[in-house]
Amino acid sequence: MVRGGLGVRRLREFNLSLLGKWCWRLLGEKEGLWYRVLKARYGEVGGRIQEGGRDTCSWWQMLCHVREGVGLGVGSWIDENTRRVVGDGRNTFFWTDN
Amino acid sequence: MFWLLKGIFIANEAVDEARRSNKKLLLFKVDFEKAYYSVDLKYLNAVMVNMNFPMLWRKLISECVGTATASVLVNGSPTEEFPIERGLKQGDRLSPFLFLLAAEGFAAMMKAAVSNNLFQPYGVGRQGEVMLSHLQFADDTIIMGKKCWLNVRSIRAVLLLLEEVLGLKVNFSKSMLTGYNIPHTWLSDAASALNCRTGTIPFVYLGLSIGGDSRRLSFWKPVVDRITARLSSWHNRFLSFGGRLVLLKFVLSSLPVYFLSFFKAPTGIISYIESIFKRFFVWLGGGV
Repeated sequence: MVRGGLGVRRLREFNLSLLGKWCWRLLGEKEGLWYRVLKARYGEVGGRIQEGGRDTCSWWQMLCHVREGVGLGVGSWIDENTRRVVGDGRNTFFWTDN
Repeated sequence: MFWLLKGIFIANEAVDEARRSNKKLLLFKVDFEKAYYSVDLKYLNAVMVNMNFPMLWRKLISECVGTATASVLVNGSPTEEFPIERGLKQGDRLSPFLFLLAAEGFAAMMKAAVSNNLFQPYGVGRQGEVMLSHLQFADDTIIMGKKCWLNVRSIRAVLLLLEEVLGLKVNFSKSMLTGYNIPHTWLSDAASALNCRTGTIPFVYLGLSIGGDSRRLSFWKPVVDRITARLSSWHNRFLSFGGRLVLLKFVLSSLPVYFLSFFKAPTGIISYIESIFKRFFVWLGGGV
């Protein structure tokens, strides 16, 4: 990590972190109307909204790319840096979740 | 802030779905006339009673909004102070939330209209499983529904009732009726029945454009223009290096955040904004 500088934010990273917040909310807030809208439109598999096919809205496609880290050069940054705590097992699947 | 963004997101998604899957979506953007000024404070208190707010809380709120007095300058000298009887203060941080409470009456009416089959909401999803009838934040309100005359009549009825009950007047001439996959003649007939104008998509809701394409450069023009306007005013020339740094941080942290927390900026736009920033620094020989 580079230290120092004048503390002026870098726009690209700033943009990505703000969008990353949406991905974070997708993991937690499953009751909200916005989540249900996404679920109705794209379907949900294993607690994860699918990317959808041809009919995907450009906004959601963009967010999926941020989520998977497409073209960012950081790997799949959301998945690699979050972890799941197994509760009663209703949202966690042995074979598919890692 | 996320509350705002969620509303924008839902509107965006519904509009986009209607466009792509050839569904008929009728959209009415409501413009309330002098929204904050016309809220009746007694009515606000009654809403809070019905929503089971505790006594102490209601007292605090009515202290906040009800004990203010105002006076008017007449020929330069203030008149005697008089108490404010209706209206929330513009610019007060509490006002949007108090307005939401007051506008709960609107939500209740819409819900009643939907459950009595007087209004047909728009359904998102293949089977239309998630129903959307209205979106609301503070005084920015959108009504969404299927294309039918029943909906047009119900919108009119609900909004007129609202005016009767809450004193919240709708400015029909500034409101806008629009939609997707609806013939233009039908739309303009409906608009003239509602006494409003027809609008186009993309439109602005809560300050962001709904149904626009964020990958286009023209989409970002308002942001870039605002940054340029803020940074290029002449008296910035006399700022010190430190002063310029503070201004830059302020502009950066306030202006584009709203856009950037919803849309991914194309690389071209980011480097363009950064070049504006750089020019702002280097232009005066400060060096970075």
